[in-house]
Amino acid sequence: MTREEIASYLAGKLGADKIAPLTGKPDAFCVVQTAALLECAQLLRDDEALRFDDLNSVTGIDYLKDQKIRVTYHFWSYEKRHDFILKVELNRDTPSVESLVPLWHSADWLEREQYDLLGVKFEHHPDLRRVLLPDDWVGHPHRKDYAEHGGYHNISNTRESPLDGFVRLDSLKKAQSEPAAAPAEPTKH
Amino acid sequence: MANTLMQEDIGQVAFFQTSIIDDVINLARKSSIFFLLFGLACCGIELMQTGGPRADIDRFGAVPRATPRQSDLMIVAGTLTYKMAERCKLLYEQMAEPKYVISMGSCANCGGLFQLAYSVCKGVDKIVPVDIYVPGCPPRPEALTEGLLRVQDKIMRERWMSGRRTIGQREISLGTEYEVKA
Repeated sequence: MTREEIASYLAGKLGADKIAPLTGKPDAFCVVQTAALLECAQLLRDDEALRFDDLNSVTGIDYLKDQKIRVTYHFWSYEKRHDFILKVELNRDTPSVESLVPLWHSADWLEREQYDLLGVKFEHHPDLRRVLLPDDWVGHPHRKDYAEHGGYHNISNTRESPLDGFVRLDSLKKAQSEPAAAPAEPTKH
Repeated sequence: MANTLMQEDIGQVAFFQTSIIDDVINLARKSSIFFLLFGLACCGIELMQTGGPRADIDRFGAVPRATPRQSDLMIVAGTLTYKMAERCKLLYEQMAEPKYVISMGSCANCGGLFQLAYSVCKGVDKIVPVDIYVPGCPPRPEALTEGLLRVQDKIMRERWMSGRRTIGQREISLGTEYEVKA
């Protein structure tokens, strides 16, 4: 099935109020209501015509202007050889969405990564901890307004430039040649 | 150590070779540097190449050792994140004295390409004392071999009978004098 067919099929099954029509180029996607994500994902996995047996990736982007975090899910079906992309829009202050771990085990670390870097809370995730950064890390670095706070565990995060106190040779030559160039006299033989 | 020779007019004559005991110790130490198997990123690939048949760091007596307890040299090869930096410090503390550190590649030297990243340590010398810096991104096996030879030079200059290398001591390395830091 093409993505257009899948999108209209989903809209027919779920109802058009829960899933928005296919948009976006070149990778077309559907925005699904946050509350209907689990229902939609269940349909994607178990429906005879869809059979999405693989969740490729879970990624998130922070949209500071819209005050939204959009989480993107890429699905792939090895059986039917087709793919589909779903997105959910979350409130930036308290981003929270239902976990897909009960449906695809691959969601486990993928969702932990988004929790780690963006602070998206996946409800009913079995083990929602940081996966890349240390456990006691403060903040979520992929947020657009993330600010570093001076190193980690007393390891400084600044490094003095080795070039401090040195002068570029060409600028030195330039400074020397400029005053000398003005009173230059023609050489006499 | 003695070679004996029969001389007609004197009798049995023994020849001894004399040397400074520091030099003998250092010659033995520099010819069997065990380095800690410890690759962090793409520099680790070059580190493996350096141990391979073409560069063959083994001909200088350096062989990889998979435990810090029996290693003399730590080659920090690759990007050091803060998370790894703490483990790197732990590995360094587990090594027995005397121990040496080669900082291999731009990332280990100063954070390199990734020094503006929030999670990257700005150089391994922020956490452990570094003896030799090897520049490059990543350094060629020849460059790392050169770094090992500089460590060997450093080992040969150390004096054991007159006092060990301690913190605060003045030391001359590669023509520049500096103070040994913690």
